[in-house]
Amino acid sequence: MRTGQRDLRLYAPIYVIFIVIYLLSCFLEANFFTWNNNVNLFTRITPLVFASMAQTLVILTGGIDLSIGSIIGLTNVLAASLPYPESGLNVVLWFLVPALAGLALGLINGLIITGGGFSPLIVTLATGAIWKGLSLFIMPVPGGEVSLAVARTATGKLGAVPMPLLIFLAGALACHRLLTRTRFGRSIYALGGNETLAYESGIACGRVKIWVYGTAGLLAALAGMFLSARMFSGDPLAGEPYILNSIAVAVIAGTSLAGGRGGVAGIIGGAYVFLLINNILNLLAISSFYQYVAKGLILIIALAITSSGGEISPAAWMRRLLKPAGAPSGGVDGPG
Amino acid sequence: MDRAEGRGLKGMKRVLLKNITLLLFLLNALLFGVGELISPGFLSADHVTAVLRTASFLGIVSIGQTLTILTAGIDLSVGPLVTMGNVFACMFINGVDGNTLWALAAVILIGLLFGAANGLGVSVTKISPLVMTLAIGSLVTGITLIVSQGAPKGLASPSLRFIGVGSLWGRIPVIIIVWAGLSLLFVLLLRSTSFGRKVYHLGANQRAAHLSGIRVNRTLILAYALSGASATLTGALMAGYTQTAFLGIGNEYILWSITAVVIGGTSLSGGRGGYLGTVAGAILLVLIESLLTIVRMPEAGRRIATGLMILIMISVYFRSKNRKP
Amino acid sequence: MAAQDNGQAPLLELEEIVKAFPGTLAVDRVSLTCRRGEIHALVGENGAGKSTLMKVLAGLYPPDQGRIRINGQEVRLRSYSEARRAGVGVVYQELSLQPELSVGENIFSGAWPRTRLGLVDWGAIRRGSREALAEISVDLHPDILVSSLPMALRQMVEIAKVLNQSPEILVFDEPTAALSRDEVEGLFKIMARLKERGKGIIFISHRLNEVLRISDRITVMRDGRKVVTDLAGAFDEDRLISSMVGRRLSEIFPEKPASPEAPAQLFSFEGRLKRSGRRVAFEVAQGEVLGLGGLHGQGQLEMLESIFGLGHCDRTELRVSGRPVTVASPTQAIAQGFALIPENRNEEGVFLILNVLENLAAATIDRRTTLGFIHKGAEARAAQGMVERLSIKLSSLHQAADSLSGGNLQKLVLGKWLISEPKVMVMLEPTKGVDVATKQQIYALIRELAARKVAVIVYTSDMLELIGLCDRVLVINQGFLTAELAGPEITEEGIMKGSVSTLDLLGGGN
Repeated sequence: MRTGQRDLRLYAPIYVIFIVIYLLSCFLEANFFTWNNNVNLFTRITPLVFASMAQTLVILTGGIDLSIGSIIGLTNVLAASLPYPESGLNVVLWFLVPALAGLALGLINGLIITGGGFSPLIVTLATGAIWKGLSLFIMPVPGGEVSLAVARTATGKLGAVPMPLLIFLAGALACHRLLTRTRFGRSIYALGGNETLAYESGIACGRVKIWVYGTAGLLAALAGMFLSARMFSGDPLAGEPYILNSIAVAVIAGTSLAGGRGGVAGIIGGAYVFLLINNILNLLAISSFYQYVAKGLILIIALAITSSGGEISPAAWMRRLLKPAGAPSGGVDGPG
Repeated sequence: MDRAEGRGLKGMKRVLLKNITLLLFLLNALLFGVGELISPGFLSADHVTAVLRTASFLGIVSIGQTLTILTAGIDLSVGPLVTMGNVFACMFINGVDGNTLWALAAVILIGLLFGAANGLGVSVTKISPLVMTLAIGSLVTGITLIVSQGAPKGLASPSLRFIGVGSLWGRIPVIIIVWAGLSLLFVLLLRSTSFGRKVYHLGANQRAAHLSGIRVNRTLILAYALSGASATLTGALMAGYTQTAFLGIGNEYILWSITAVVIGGTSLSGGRGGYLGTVAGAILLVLIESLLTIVRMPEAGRRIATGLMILIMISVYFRSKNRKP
Repeated sequence: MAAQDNGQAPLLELEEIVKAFPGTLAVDRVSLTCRRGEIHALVGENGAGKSTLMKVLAGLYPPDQGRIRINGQEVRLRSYSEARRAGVGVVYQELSLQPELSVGENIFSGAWPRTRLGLVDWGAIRRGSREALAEISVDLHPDILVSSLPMALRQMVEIAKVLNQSPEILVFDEPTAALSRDEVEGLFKIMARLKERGKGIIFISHRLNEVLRISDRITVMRDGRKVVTDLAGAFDEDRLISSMVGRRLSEIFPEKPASPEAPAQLFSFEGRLKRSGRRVAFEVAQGEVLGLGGLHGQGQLEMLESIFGLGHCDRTELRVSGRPVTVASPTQAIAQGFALIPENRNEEGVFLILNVLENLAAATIDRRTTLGFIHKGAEARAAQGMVERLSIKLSSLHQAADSLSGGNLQKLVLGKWLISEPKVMVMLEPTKGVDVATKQQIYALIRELAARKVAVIVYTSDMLELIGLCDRVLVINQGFLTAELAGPEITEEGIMKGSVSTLDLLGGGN
């Protein structure tokens, strides 16, 4: 199988699902396929795309980032707390401060994880709490303000094209290029595949990991910045839903939790699927509370499929579930 | 030639780890003293029992977290499960004393079921505990919302309220006694039952456990089931304290329970640690919260403190032996 | 074809190399040279020191003593990259490819070429990949995922990867182990081409016919020493075998009792190995220690592990004292009275962070419980009993297992299983990483178990153990039974012949 084929197999399913759900939505709601609605969707999808790309990068190295929600929150708060509102300086700061902060926070994550050899889970859980504390410290309740110019531009249009669409497409493209066309990106895959082999090939594993977490922080910051423009204010807890959502989208978009396999090509499809599920529930007059249930189920199903070695075989899966504990599973060693 | 034990820094670390529980309890005593210095009355019977009362709830939910972390896993669904226990208890009881017993039983059963689902995912389909419990957590959040329609109703019964806020002999809060009882049972489970022993083997070396005939799947499922049950039970008992249900009441318990377990010396890679350390860790956490409150540290600062504590503790305990290059 | 050096220093000189590990002298003053355009074969039994010598050359271990010279210049090879830069390329048996990456990416692993803009140059990767493979006459699309390639082609990619770094010296470690006849031919053509281009090739293999066919010179190692180096033409299979064997019996084995007239069959096994599709069957009689021998990785481990329910065989039939038993998992196996001493003690046999007591009790926890509660007293007694019976040196039962030496850890594993009073004991490499004194104790224990009517099956890659310990030896090669030796028939020559034979005693021929 060639890499092109493999990528197709990896990403096609999510886009198929995306199309199905999109069509379903059109069918269920007359106004779904209007320009306005789609623009609205672009705006809502952008932060999720960036957060999920951040998580994908980290998961590709075999780690996880539970502090993403807090980084989004902190950068969101920073973006809405800048001095000299409505001035040119404010705009410049809006671009620089949150982005650099996100990068710094991510780098700190990476340094602690590689420096101490700790598990990313516990480190990012801890740093997530710290960043969240900082956010609440800077802005205990939602507030602040964002320059009108920034807010209008970010959610506006460039010519006839909606800005959010451009933003997330550009972001996804840049991320994709990073992963497929740079040494850094290829090192991520080698590292995630087999760290020892990667090290013996001369790849600086520690440095790559640190910068992966740094980049993830930067991408999360972009999400936080966009959220500030969209909400026209800041909210320290704005990033909370993105912890689970980013992991879920990364997984259903084809990235394996074991590392070394996956990418960002499926993220847009995955983000849409996630967003639209909630939409559909609304349209079917099902309480939006069901989105949590749906999210959980989707994640479990996607994980069950990928964890069983990628055999998209519900039959095999059923067999394994129903077998008494301890029975052999056809040549596979290990528990169960 | 056997390696010499207890030489130099590595030896000191071994001694430290062996007596961690003792050290933590000493630290707690010290902090109580410090608190008294800063704000007289800190060491009063009222305040000490208040601290222990809060620690009880954390301690009970941390029973489950200790169990799952010992198996080299983790349970991120405890938060939503605590909330579910809280909401469902109020709903089932609805203020009627007679409902208390069966409501508690039902809540525990629900916790067992969701926990078992976690265990199934982790053992049979080999999904990573991190994501499996996150997913189930989301499911649980949704179900709680759906059932309560976003506005939880119901009321705790007088009996439950007695457990939550009442005191025996006018002095010792009932909840502390409940915690003590459960702690005893749990320590017994870990140290004296075959299940407890198997949990340690699982966490220490899952492959060797399998090859030694230990039923890995069964043990994992039971461990996660118990974790779910301890979480919902905590939520139900909290209903006695809060009298009505609150959505989101369980949210902080994810971070807090993990912190208590980690501080208590239980290793995240499994097979090492125990519940007494968690007890000390839970009390420590609540103590520090209390101290920070009296020095007027805003909520933000307390959160930062929790995060910093975890980082400090893992660098003290768990420097990874093979630092990858 | 004669090697050419034209009076210059040989391409590679290993001079009086010594490498020791705690407890063994793996390489004992070995000297070896390799000339340009020469295929020099390195031959020897398991544990002769060949792989260690090559690991020294590859930069993994610095030699304790001795010198390495390349093109006359002395070099210090302290890491893989230094060895690579000095011109040494090693094609390992366990390939160093990343399955999730493409052929091209693997060939350039880590050193992917860049365009002027600093981006990865896929064009160059693809071109370079095709060129590297063309040098060995292989045509593979550079984008193919390594995980979808069969073993033989993966090996080609590995070779191309190694060649891509322009080594002057190439080491092939058991390259033909997983190849079919045609694939072996292909590999030999490649080696011939490389030879023509003046590379120096060291070729490690157990397949003596291949070695005799393709090499210019052959070096035989034994017990860490070099026995002989000579032109290939001066050897035949017999001379090779007799050079490889003849090791000194350094351990003392207990006496083997005379076999009873009509011993009862304690255990019988029959199954079809999944990877070879061949049928294998054997029996163990009362009082007999059965040994499984042959070269590494010929299926012995799989056969024995499947006795324990680890599913590497199909259609298995097990009988204990004539009664058929079903074993689908280790739990069931233990219930039926089986025990398995695993090959990798640390990963599969002991719980390093737990204490001695917990380790010893691990396989029999439920036997000492009432209503789920463990009888601590009974447990401690059982454990103490084992400690005494096996003479495990301890300060306390609550001592952490990771403070024990290899030998004591192995006793821990043995103790764990002995407490379960097994009827069938399967031991995989029972004395691996164990000191001499403990080895003797283990041998005595094995004899004792056999005398007590336990069916003991031992897999060991150490020929001397097979000869000294076992009453009967089955030799396995490529997944089928090639020789069955009993009593005085168990000799090094006999085992060696079986290890390289391709005759299936139970089925058809090769």
